[in-house]
Amino acid sequence: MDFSELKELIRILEQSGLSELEVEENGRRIRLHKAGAVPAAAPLIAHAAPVVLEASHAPRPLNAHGHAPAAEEDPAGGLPTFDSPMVGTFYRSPSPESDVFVKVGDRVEENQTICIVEAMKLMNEVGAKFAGIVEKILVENAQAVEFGQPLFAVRRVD
Amino acid sequence: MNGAIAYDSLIAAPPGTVLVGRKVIAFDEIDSTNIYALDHCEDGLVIVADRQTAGRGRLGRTWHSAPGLGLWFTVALEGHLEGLSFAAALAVRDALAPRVALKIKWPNDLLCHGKKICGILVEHRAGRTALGIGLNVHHTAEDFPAELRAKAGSLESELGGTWDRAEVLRAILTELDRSIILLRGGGLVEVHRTWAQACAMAGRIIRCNGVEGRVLEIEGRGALVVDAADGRHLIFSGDLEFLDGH
Repeated sequence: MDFSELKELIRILEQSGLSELEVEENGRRIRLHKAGAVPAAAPLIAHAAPVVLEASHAPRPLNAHGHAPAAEEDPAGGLPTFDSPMVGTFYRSPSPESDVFVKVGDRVEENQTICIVEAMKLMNEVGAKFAGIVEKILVENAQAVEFGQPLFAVRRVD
Repeated sequence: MNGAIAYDSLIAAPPGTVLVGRKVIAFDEIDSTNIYALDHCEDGLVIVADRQTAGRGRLGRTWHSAPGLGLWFTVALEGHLEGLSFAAALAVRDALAPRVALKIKWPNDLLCHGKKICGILVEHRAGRTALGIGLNVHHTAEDFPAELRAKAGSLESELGGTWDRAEVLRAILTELDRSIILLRGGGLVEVHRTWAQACAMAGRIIRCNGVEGRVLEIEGRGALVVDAADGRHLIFSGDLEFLDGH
């Protein structure tokens, strides 16, 4: 179960009439319930209660960092983001001695290589989804990243 | 036999594969066969060079690809293929199985007598894939930089005998052709299972990316699940060291 699958489960629970959802995969059981959920017979108040995450035998779900995903403010500040296409390690340059692909303030063109995400010696060049100005770089070089994790906050230019 | 001429026999009599190596281009010298493949992608095209001036390993590390000594080649593929780097490690192992039992070191290095003789680097760019394989063939110990001598070997330095790079390439392309067709046909589970068994990681005590612990298993995407003092970690990349001997 990866981060994006977990997010999908949360979305399903939020949009459903269920108060609780339990999934078991590879010996790990994850139970989600809506905080303050009341018995199913009671009227459902959609979106009124945040979803609380519990994992049964691990204190937290495991991800590539070994850290639990935490709800936090939008680090992209509302800007659109370029996201990681896979789980792996984020690199800002093609090699430790090379210049970085992009810096804050750089203008990037669509499909321009902006970083590499590596997993198991697969070097995946990530291209810009659209032309824009890089406003924020949201992860550190050589940091582990999840599938779908925002990497760059980018102001779109036409 | 140095230069592209080393591969004349393969080009004169192609391997009879369905996809991989239907067309083979040989260079005396090139910057990197992977770069060429990403720039001139043609599905199944094989680029082989006697010498690479900018051969690359993981993280852009230099891959020592001196002239006349090794088999340096890339298979260009359209699209991205999950499990390709696992299939490639198995293909090299199986191609050489008639003469030597190579071990796969997670994720996809090939070892002979505990020394690395082959490295594999897959690169993706904009819907194209370069599967780069470097196999040390004719090196003597002195051909490696001093700091690598304890860790690196070649077919000849470890096994003796004579090795024809064109024929080794032919055998690898034949195996790769089968496994890439298998993967494209939905054979990822089978490839993953065979590769994970070959890596034999369960129970090993390792250090990787600052994490030390016992490997519980290789999970579905190929990452190591490691039981460490501070909990479980998933490791997707890094320099793997065994702390329990070879």
